[in-house]
Amino acid sequence: MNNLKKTCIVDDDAIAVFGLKRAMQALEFSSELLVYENGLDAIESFQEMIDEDTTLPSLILIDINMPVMGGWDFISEMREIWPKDKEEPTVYMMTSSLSPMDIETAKTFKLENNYLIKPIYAEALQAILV
Amino acid sequence: MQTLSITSLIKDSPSAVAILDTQLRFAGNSRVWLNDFCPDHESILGKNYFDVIPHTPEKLKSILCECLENGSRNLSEGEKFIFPSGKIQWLKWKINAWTNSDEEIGGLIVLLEDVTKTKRLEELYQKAERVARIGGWEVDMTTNFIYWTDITKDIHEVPRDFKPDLETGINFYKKGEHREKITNLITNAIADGTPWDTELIIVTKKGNEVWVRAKGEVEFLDGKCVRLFGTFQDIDEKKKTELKFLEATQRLEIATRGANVGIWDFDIVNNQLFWDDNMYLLYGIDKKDFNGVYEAWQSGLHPGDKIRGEKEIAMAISGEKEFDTEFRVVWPNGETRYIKATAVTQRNADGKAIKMTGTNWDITELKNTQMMLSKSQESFFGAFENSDTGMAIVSINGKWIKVNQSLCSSLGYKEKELLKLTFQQITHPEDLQNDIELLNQTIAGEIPSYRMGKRYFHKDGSIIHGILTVTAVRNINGKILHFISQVTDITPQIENEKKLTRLVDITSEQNESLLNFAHIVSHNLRSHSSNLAMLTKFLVKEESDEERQNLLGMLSGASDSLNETILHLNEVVQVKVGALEKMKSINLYDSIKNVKKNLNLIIQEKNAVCEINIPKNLMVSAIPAYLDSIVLNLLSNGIKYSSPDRKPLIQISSEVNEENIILSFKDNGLGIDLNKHREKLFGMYKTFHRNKDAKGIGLFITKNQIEAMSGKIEVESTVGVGSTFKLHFKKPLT
Repeated sequence: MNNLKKTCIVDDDAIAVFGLKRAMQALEFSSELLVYENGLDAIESFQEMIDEDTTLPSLILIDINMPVMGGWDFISEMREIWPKDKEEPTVYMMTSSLSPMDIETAKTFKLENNYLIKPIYAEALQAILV
Repeated sequence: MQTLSITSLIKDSPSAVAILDTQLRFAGNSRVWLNDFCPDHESILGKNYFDVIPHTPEKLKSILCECLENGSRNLSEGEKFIFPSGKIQWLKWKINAWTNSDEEIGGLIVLLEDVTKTKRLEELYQKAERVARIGGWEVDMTTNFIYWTDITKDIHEVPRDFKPDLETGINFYKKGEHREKITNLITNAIADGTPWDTELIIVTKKGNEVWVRAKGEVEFLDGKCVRLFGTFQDIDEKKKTELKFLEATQRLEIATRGANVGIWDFDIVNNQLFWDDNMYLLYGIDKKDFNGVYEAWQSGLHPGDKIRGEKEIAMAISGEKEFDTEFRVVWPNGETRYIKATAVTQRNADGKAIKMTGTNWDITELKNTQMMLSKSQESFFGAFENSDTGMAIVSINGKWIKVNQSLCSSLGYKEKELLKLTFQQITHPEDLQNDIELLNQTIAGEIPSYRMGKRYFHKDGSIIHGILTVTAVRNINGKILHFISQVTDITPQIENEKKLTRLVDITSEQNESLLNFAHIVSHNLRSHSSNLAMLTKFLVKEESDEERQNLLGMLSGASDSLNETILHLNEVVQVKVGALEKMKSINLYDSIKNVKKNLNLIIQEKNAVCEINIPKNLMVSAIPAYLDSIVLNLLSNGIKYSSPDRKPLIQISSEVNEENIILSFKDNGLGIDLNKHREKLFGMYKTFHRNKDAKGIGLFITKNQIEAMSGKIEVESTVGVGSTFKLHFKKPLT
């Protein structure tokens, strides 16, 4: 269960991040984990990685509602800066919202199937970490 | 005595005979001579020929002298003489010299005949022959000799010395039916003596086709045909005219039949009526069913039109009025048809009517169309007058020709007043150009009609909203006669629409805030509940005491957060509830001054400058607590998000317009990228700067508060330059 080299979590909710880390431990998922509090922090960090040509994350779990830069804005930005020759990461959107509007937005990013409703437990995570 | 006896014998000769001596004196003459040539003389014996007949033509004189001198004879079958008086005389003579017993010339015997009458007829006949182009021909069957007169040769276009035979004669006829026919006719004639008279085409020597009339007869002797003879006439012109006439007649017949025109002819003198076949068709009857035409006419005529019809014919005959009328006929199947009839009356030299020639034609369709037209006209005017839609007939130059009641009442004019105006005069100037352009396109034939929304001025000056439909009415040549305009007054609809729009605006505003609230509840509350659920689940399963303590700590934090969120939401709900009742007239300057005082500590800490440029007596309608909260939020935001590159400056100013008082907070801080964040700027828990204090609740509450006071908030901002927030407050009620 260690075929993913870098995994990235973007969420401003410390408790949610804690929950995810705990689930990963339970699954003995031992990839390098990057955690950011908002989209902008993540983007800036990715930009550095691109500039330095270090390995970019291949899985991103990101919250939709965040201060400074939310999940959707993050995806737009990320797709813009992502090098053409690098494979795009798998992105999963996370939200506590049950709003149907978020699902509609997900469709516009073709992410309607990569959509996780909080709280996220090991069982849900296992399916995507395989 | 011999002489005497001869003389007396001569006296009774049936011809005009005279015996002259050597001195050309009459030695004897027949009574006929005396009658014919010297009716004035009782006796001419011993008198000189020229004394007795002084008008003897010179030519005859010299012939007489010559014969006497030479003892010769002279003969003429007829000579034409024209005398100085213009008289024409034809003379036929035989002159012989006679000799006595000594063989000496004793004088002349003259046989003279005046053949003027015969010759004249002959000459006339020849002329006629030439003029009528009638030639003669003859075949002697015993000798096989063929004779053609000159005219016959001319018709065949052969030279005068042409020698025809029976076969060449026949071969001049055009190959085919013409040659076959003449061959048959001649064969029959030779066989049984049937004469012929036919019209056929010959092809002349020069190759021209000519119509001829060939007549022939035969002579029999002892049952055998001995002679064929006849005439040969050039009838080409006549025939061609005839054929043309026939063609024209046929064409006319086809035309009259096609046009359903019947032709009739009334011989007034003999009281006889003639109908062509079309007439029977027009009356729907069969010719065979009637003894006479008059009877047929009487039976077909509609009873109601009979007396009038006869009267009109009588008037035409008397010359009072030409026959030009319409009447009905009833067909045997009961169908009524309309007939149009005209006639021309022919009169003799005395002006008496002798004949009427006329036509009948069926105008039922026309009549029906006319009736339908008048019906549709009636219904048009009925609809026009009673329509709820405003309708008008408008002339090409825009003048109202006819307007209906509905249009008058929409525009507030009386019919009389409106008819004095043009549509241009009562059209809203902004809509006039468009209307005229469309009208011109219609006149040019580019469009058949047009439809537009336009505004008219009511007589009282108010605006009438209408939907105008204009249709051009053209005559059969495409020329525009007038326009039909229809104006639907939609002013009430427009007014309702405006009201409706206002209602929709309010509703959608309320909906929006409701949605916003639902979103807040769904997202913000659920995020806490999901955290609480997760932590609780962990706690239940966790065995390590240390980790349980950690989880409990987190659980407590999560429940605090939930509490805080609920407090915020409660605040918002409170803002919305019953806000308007708490509105008061507040002095803006004092309120701002108070808030500023509470913030003095941070202002000093940040070394910021806060300028308040507001009239000290400016009053707004607001809820005091909200106003304080709003000012506190905006002022502290301005200081919190100041730029580290410059000294913070916050300028508060006001502006008064017709409806509102606008309060501006202008800073020189970080600024916000409005392209990205305009939508979310006033949302709950939205923060845009990496400020640890930022909770994303201030602007959210501010927006709710100003809206609860029927105001609004606007923002202008440039990243790195600063932001300006504008608050619209209601003026206090005076």
